[in-house]
Amino acid sequence: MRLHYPLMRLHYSMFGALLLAACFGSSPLPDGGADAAYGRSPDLAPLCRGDNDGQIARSEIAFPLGLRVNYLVNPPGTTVPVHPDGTPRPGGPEWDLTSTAGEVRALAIEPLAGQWFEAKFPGATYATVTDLGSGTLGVFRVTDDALWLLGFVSRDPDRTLLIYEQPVATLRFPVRLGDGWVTGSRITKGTLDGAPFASTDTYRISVDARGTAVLPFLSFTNTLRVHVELTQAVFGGASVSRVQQLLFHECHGELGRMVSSPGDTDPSFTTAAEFRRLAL
Amino acid sequence: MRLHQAAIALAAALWMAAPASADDAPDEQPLTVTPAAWRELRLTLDGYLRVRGEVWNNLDLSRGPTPSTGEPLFPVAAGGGNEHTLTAADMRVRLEPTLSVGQAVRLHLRVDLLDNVGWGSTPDVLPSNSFALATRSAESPEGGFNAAHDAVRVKRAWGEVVLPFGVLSAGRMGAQVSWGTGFFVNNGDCLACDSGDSGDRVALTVPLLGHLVTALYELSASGPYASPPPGQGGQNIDLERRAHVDSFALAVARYDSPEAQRRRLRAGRTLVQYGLLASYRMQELDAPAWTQPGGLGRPYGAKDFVRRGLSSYAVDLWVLVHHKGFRAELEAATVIGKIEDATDVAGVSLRQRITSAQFGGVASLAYAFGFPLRLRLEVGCASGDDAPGFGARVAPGQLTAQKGDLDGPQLRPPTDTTLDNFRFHPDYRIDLILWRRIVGQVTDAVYVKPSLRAGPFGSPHHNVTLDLSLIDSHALFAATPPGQDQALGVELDLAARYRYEPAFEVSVGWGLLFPGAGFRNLDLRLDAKPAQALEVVLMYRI
Repeated sequence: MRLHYPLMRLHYSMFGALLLAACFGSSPLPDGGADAAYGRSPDLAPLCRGDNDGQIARSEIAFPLGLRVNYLVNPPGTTVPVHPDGTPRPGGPEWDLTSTAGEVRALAIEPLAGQWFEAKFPGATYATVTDLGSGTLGVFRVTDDALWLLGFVSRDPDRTLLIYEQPVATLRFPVRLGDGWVTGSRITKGTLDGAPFASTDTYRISVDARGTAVLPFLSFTNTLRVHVELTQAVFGGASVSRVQQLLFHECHGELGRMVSSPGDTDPSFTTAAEFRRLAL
Repeated sequence: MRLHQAAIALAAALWMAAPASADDAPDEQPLTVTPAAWRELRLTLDGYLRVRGEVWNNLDLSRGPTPSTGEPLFPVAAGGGNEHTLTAADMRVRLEPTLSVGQAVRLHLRVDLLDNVGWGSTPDVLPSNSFALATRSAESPEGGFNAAHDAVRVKRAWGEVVLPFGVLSAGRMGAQVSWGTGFFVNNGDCLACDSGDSGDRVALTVPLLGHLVTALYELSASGPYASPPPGQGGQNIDLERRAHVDSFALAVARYDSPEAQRRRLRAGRTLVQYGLLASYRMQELDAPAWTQPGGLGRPYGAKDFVRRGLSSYAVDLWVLVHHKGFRAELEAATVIGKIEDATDVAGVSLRQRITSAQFGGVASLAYAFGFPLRLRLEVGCASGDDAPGFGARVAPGQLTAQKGDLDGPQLRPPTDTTLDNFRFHPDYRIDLILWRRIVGQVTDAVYVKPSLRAGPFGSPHHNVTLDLSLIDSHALFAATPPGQDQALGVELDLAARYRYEPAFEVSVGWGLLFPGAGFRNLDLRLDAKPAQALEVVLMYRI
């Protein structure tokens, strides 16, 4: 049980908000349906322009520091029914992200400059909240061929600091249907909530479906589903696995995700510990 | 009427010519089937040279920037300082040759030379590392080198043939006539016009029961096309027929030529002109990238198209009654349309339909006294949209509008999916400052314009005309103007024109705008201050 707690916490952090790119603004739209619902800052211009070819090239992903994107997510500690396989359609599965239930959480692409952990992650590109409950940040490096996960930190100095011995390739560019890889890394001499921590993490990642994601006001064709199965083994031999199904679209980044409960490795899981989608 | 007469004359000529070809005999000299006169070429030339200069003072109204763009309402001196006076001078040569082949066939061209080229905008030091002061000569404009456009711009080219049943026209043409008041359809023929409508069309006009009936098809936009390889002539191939923006129109009008109208009025008869115009525009698919930078030379496939689903209907009704000194005119138009998917990104669809319901109208009453004085009252209205800004000239990259903006998109899906502001044609000018310069065109407003014209004084060959007008403008929605108030202001315009017939005129116009609370800067708590404009136009007519 003592081991299980940090595992659960850490699982929430893994494979966090990988990509935050938005063409449709950084804040939730106002309620109501009248023209008079104005008065906010103008939306952002598109960050890039994709070619809708069913692949996500490096140039079709942007990581502008400071960008904030709103996601709708179920409250931490709750579960929601999901259907990660989507509804079969002639053009591929259709994922229903139209639910407006949940709470709006703003996630930002934060620079490391000036942060207490800046020196711990040389070469890092950005940090972003990966565990919505605790506010734990994931630290990433962006290169031409991959998005690398370097580790995790707390916003408060020295409370959590988990550094992978080798960066983990969480996405390889171009992201295309059929690609898959197994990767892993170790955390040694880490600190999780002030306690020593070590683990060996294995990621089985595949781009296993292409279809259409439907949000309340927009639909995205040629959306790619990235299947991630993470197995985390801690000192003593205990391990736990879970599945994440993430939906990506060129230039819009992560449209949504469904995360299974700890121990549930069924890729067609029906109950999600986290159901996140763009708040559009 | 002129078309009608020409059609009848041609029909008679064809009827008489037909037996000649059937009556040939081998031992006789063959008759000339086509009368020589039918092959006569006649070239006529219309057009003008326009030179104009303007001085604008405080057209930014000294009320600070708007929030979305951070820019003032009108440009201010780029060099900084509290300088609010700007100038402009430009010129244009318009050539409109018509080549008539006999009596039935005509080829028309509209070619603009140095089209609105600013004076001093293409010195020979541009581009170079020399100082501007080192210039010795003005160079010809070359698009992409020292100017936005080349020195020669062919704007229209079309042909028409008078057939026994009507006139068939095809090519890139403008409106066949200056329809109505010009606030909805405007062919850009006026001497002060800057744009005008053009389209690639085929039109058939048939005289029927004293009316002209015109059916028209226009390929308004072809969508992506494939060009022949360099060095190989040939046709472009439209890559997706369903991406065409197709327009169809039907017009019925009782319309006399200006000469016929003058004759009728001189005879003391009542002149009644009217017309009804209906059009339909549609597009099934669209490739958004085609109209975006880099969109012309690239390949296209299914992934580049979106299901646009445009359908739009327009109706315009125009009536003019002129009897002796009394003249009344009314025109009203509406545009009703929808766009199923208004996305500009292939692969991302907007799930809500965009709808549009726009209305506009102009009514005027005028009375010309026996002495050279005419009083006129004009009222105009253009429907609005309660989104902030006028929606007339949206800055590039501005995706939404907020309170305090002068302009901006009138859409903001998903909460705002209506586009209801009617925009008058930009060549329909009612003033010198507010609508012409600051907003750009009449939209989202109602205005009242009493005016007085004195003249012409002098002889038919040398005469002077004086005009005085007052324009009181109000927004339809208080949410539209930057100051969130319907009062837009009152403008006083004076003009004097000297005309030397047949080929020259000079006009001087001066305007003074007292802006209303609609231009107040609420954030900075600044009231808008008056603006002035002075315009001088020299016109050498062909």
